[in-house]
Amino acid sequence: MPPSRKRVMITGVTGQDGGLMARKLLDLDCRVCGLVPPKSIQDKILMTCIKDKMEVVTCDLGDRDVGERVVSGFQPEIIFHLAAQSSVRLAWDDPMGTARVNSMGAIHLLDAVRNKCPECMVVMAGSCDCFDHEVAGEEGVTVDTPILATNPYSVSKIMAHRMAHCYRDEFGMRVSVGILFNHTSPGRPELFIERRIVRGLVRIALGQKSKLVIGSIDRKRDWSWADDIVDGFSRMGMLDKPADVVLASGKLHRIGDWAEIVCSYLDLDIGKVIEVDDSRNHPGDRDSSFGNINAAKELLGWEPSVSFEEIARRLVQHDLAELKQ
Amino acid sequence: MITGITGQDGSYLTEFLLKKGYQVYGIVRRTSTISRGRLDVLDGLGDLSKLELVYGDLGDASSLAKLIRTIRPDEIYNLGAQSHVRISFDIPEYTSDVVFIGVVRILEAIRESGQAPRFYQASSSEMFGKVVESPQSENTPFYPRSPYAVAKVAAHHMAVNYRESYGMFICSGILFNHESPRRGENFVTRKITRSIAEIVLGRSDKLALGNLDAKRDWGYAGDYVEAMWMMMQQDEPDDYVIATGETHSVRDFLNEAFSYQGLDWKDYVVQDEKYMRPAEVDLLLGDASRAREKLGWIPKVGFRDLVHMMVDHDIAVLKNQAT
Repeated sequence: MPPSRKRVMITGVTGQDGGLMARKLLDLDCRVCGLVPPKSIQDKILMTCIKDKMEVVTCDLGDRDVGERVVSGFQPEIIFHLAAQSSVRLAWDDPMGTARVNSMGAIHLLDAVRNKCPECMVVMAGSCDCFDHEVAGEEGVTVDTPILATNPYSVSKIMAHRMAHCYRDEFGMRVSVGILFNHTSPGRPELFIERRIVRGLVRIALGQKSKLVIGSIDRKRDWSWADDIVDGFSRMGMLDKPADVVLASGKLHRIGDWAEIVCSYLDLDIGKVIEVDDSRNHPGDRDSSFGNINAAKELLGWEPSVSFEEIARRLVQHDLAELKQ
Repeated sequence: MITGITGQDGSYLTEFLLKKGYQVYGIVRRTSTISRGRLDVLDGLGDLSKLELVYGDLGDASSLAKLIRTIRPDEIYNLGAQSHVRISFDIPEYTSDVVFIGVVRILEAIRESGQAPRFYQASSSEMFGKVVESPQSENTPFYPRSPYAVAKVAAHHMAVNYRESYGMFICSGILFNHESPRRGENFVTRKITRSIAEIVLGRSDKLALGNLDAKRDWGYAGDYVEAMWMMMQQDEPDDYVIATGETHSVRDFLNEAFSYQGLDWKDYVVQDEKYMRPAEVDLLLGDASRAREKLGWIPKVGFRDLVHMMVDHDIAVLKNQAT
């Protein structure tokens, strides 16, 4: 079904995914309302390019009444719920703030929809961090992989994920959860390891810095290009029937492989510029598996379009241009 | 220190700990003053100088932090909750805040206090919900089917997370249904026994209930609080399923309770949609092997005795009120 003129709400519109989603939906001629958390540093891409084309509402989803008022006012037909505190590292420092935004924010939104526009399709951003990756094994993580909580971030997302199912199964609401694996873009902050590596190494290549310290080079991740993931996520909003879908690249890479590729683009010798410091790891850190994207291909006709090497190349180019100035 | 001290388990645990010589601090909310009836029963215990009620709220992080700083508890039992499953469908947000975020608030308050109290988290068999295997043990995957159960699962995960990451002494007791004469009146068992008392005394002739086929593993609350305490005395913290290993339907409960008074429940019970849950959990049946082996815990009061105890109590109370 073409989404043209549909009323679509995006939470977390100032984030990496929210900004990409807003632009995508505006291109599709949707009527978009973006929720912006109070006190947020409003994303420059969003603010310069698309702010005027959409409704922007400042709204703290941690506060239930606010969510209800906003949902009731805009009467969305689709909601993409992307607002989250998405860093595992920050979650260890602020488990409560993380739970408030990630768990209570989701519940407030779900309950607002239940009360004010129960026909609305809600697509929630779930996380690969909620599953038992060891059990997933060769098949990769699917929506049926057992749940496993390894840190306060994953607990907060599991809460939202399970509650989404509760609203779908028990209240009959149209709620889907997209299980998103790591996805990156120039808009992703340095808080995340792949961005930290690129920016750190670019600084070294530009002579602004001499060494980059990271916690591990052996841990593995499944990385995608954020536009690809957002594209898959947007397609979930068009499904006739709600369904959970894993969105990922389907491939696993070592953090060391990532650093290696970035070094090769920058003509750096990895042994000379990267230092590994185990003490930066948290006891809860674990190895990851990859996401199984068979369901995404079947249900959404979706496939990732940007390769691992190309992601690294684009980020290096972007950061070189930005940090040269 | 006990949260939820005004609840069924809180009162039994308080009684148990006072007998052990503990100094007990009970956290009460400003609004729970009206419902302290369950603590009145403690009057019979004599020395209440070792019980102190202090104001606090699972919804208020700074009150919890302050209490932990000033009381410096050796053991904390987190029994506070909005524990009614059907009501959690009406107030999912409040339920989540108290049940899940409440635990995060306490755990953070403990961590920031720099103290090392032992922490008991009251988990629930409702977390198994749409059960994936029977009976359910500590290794059975969760499948929560209500906002209450979702919140309890998240609270359990968070507790285990803190134990594994920070080495804190945290036990999560996954308790199956446990009843007693002090059970809340909106829970089905107590609703039945209260109603029998009214019928016996000629004040009522009808009892409206929801799903009669729901099956539960019902134990006696007095036995279950002892299990909580036993977990907290071990060298290493762990999670334990606490259950009788027997399952009975609401119908079985009706049979036992009515026939005990020489009545036939079919003459009185009517089914009412209003009391049906949107989602009923499947057959709940606990496997408490770990508790039996590691703690030496076994339930003392069986199903029949439990039902009789509750009926006797409610008849006595009602008669007492009449005179």
